[in-house]
Amino acid sequence: MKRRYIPLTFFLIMIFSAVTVSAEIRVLSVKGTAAYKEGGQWIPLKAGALLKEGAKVSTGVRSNVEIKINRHTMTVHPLTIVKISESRDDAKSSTTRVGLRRGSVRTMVTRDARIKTVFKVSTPVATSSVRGSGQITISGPTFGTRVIVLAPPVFGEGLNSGMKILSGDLQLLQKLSKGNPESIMTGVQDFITQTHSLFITLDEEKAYELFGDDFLVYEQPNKRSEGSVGVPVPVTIYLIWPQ
Amino acid sequence: MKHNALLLTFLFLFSYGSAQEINFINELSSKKTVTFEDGVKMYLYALGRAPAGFEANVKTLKEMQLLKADRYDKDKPLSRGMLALMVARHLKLKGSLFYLMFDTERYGHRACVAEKIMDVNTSEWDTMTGDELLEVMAIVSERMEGKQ
Repeated sequence: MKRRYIPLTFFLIMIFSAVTVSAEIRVLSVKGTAAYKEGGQWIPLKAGALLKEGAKVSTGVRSNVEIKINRHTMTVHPLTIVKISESRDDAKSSTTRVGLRRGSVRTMVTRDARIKTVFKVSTPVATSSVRGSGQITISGPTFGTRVIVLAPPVFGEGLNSGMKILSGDLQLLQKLSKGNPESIMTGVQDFITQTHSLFITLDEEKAYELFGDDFLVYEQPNKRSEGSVGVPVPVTIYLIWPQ
Repeated sequence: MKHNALLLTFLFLFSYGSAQEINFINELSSKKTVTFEDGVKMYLYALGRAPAGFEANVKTLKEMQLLKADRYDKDKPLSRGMLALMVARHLKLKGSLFYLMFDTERYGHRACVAEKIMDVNTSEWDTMTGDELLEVMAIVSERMEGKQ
C-alpha cells in the first residue's frame, strides 16, 4: 500500500521543486509591436503571456514591453533584442541573467535583505550587476554599451576592466573597438563648471587664490623622502550636483 | 454584422502589418550591409507609415523633403552620409553651420555627430550594417518623440 504512494510523492516533490525554482516570467504590458522567440519562430507578443527561460524578445519602432521576472521588472525599449538567459527564484536566492544584443532595457530590481539577489545584464562588450536598484542599459555597435543608474549603486564591468561602482549620473561606457571603458565621469563632465571650496578653511582659500593648488602637499612632513613618492593617498572628493 | 466584418478585417491588417514590421527588423539585424531600399523602408516604419514598393516609399520621402535627388538606386549600399542627410533634414538639425549652408551628405553627417546621433569616429562614407541602422533609427525615434 505504502509503495503505491512513492511515485505520487516523487511526482509531488518534482512539481513543488519546479514551482519554487523556475521563476515566473510574465509579460505585463505591450505597447506597439513586439514578438518573442522560443525555438525557431517569432511569435507576436501580448500582455499576460508567460515566457520561458531562454526566450528572446524583440520590439519594433515606438514599442515597449514590460516584463515581470521573479519580483523584478524589466522594460524593453524600442528596436531592442533581449534574451532572458536565466531566471531562478526560491526563498533564499533570486538569480536573473539577461543578454542585451541591441537596444536598451530598463531594469527595476526589488530589494529584500533576506534574499540573495543577482540580476545581471550582459551586452556583447560589458556586464552590469543591478543590486536592489534601477538602471538603464543601452547597447549598440558604434556607441558601445552605456549603463545609466537611476537609484543607488550598481556594479559595471567592461571588457578588460575591473568592477566599477556606478551611482547618480555616472555612466559606464564600453566601446567594442576599445579595450577599456571610458572614464565613468564622461557623461557628467558637462555639468562640472568649477571646484567648490566649501570644505577648506579661509586661510587655505586665500592660499589657493595666491598659489593655486601647488601648496597642497599631502605627504607627511617627517617622512618627506624619495621613498614616499608614488604612495597612494586617500582623498575625499565632495561633488555637488546641480538640482 | 457588417461592423464585425470591418473590425475583423482591420484587426487582421493591423496584426499582419505588425508582423511584417518585426520580421523586417529582425531580418535587418542579421545583415552585414544594408541597401538604400532597406534604409528607406526602415525610415518609413520610424515615421509610423506603412511602406509600399521602393518607388512609392521614395515618393513619400520626397514629399516630406527628406529626399531631393531625381533618381535613387535601391540596391546601392546604404552609407552613413545618405542616412545622415535624411535624418538632418527630418529633424532640422542645426548642430553644423556648414550643414545649414551646404545641404550635403558630408555636412549632414557632421550635424548628426554634433547632435550625438552618430559617433564621432564614423565617416559619411561608411556602409552600414543592419544593427548600425537600427541603432541610429532608435535614437531618431527617441528624438522624434521628444519633439512631438
